[in-house]
Amino acid sequence: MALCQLLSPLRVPAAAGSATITHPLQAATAPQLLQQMISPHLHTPVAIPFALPLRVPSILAGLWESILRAVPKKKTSHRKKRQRFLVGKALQDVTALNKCSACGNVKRAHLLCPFCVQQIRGMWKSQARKALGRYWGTGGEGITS
Amino acid sequence: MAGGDLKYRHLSRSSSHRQSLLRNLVTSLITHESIRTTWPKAKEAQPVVEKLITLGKKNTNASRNRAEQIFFQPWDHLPKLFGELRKRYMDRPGGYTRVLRIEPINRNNDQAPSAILELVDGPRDMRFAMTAKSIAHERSTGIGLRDITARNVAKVTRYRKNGTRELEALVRTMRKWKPRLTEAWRMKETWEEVDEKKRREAERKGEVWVKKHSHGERDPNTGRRKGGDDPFEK
Repeated sequence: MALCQLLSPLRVPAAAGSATITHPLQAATAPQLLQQMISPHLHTPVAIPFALPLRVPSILAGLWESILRAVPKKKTSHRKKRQRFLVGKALQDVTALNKCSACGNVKRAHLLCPFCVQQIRGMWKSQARKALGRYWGTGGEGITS
Repeated sequence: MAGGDLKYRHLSRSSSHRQSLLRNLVTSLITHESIRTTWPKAKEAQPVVEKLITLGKKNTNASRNRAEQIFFQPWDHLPKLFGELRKRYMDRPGGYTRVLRIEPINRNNDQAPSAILELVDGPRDMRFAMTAKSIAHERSTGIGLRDITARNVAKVTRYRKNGTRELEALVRTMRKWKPRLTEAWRMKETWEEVDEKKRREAERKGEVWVKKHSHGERDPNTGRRKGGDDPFEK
């Protein structure tokens, strides 16, 4: 835009006067450009619109140093903290698996199949409930309980 | 193990506490023939039971006195030790107990390695039952008896009176069992879903299903039970 304005100075007054200027910088540069066209010995085609000198009074300097430091903005959340601490402590995959010989389900090696154990214990329980003091196979020896 | 090469597991207890624990475990085992506990506790209780049964087999005054010291209620448990168990293990040269690893009992707590501690050749002999179930499965699938099952059969029936006959009877019972689906077992159903399933099943058969045990109906808005099981309801 600025280059375009430089190349065609005839359009500049029209642009400056119209409502097409929306940006403040643009508004600021328009008079500067006019000035450039009038007096071409000035080297800067676009001047800095404004500059604020940052001057902290010497009394406040110590205070400034003591107050403003780089600090965490927020408390680390419980989740983030636990995530950080538990890195590398995830559960291992269970790869020692085999097939239950009594039902065909997959089970952990060296452990009894939980389904079969459950079924057998259920059988014992129901038998104990049905006939207290009798159990399968034998002729009436008691479960003392 | 921390603290040097120890002769036994301390089980995170003082000596007296540990002794009491083991005495209680032993009593439970003698009473119920099979108990479920953590694997280290089962392994610690095992030699105590073995020694106790040896005392029972000796059947002398001295052994009676010693056995009396182990039980908390000797009058309840001594008759079984010196009667039934003594008879059962007369021919067996040691090895009266068995520890079988199982899936952790507390699935949602500590996941501690668990085990079944059982009296061999008793009415709750898990290996005996598992062997029978294996035979039933192998027969139903037409695999035939596997080597390892054959070995287990030999182990399980060796000192058991009428062992072969009992095993065959159990196999026949187990062949009637329907295979249990793993997926269905793992799915957690609410009581309402179970009831609904039963109701639909009855409907399909043309029957009317009536709920037998009411556990308190749930309030549709809050989802809580109306019964007295929730202390915050009151």
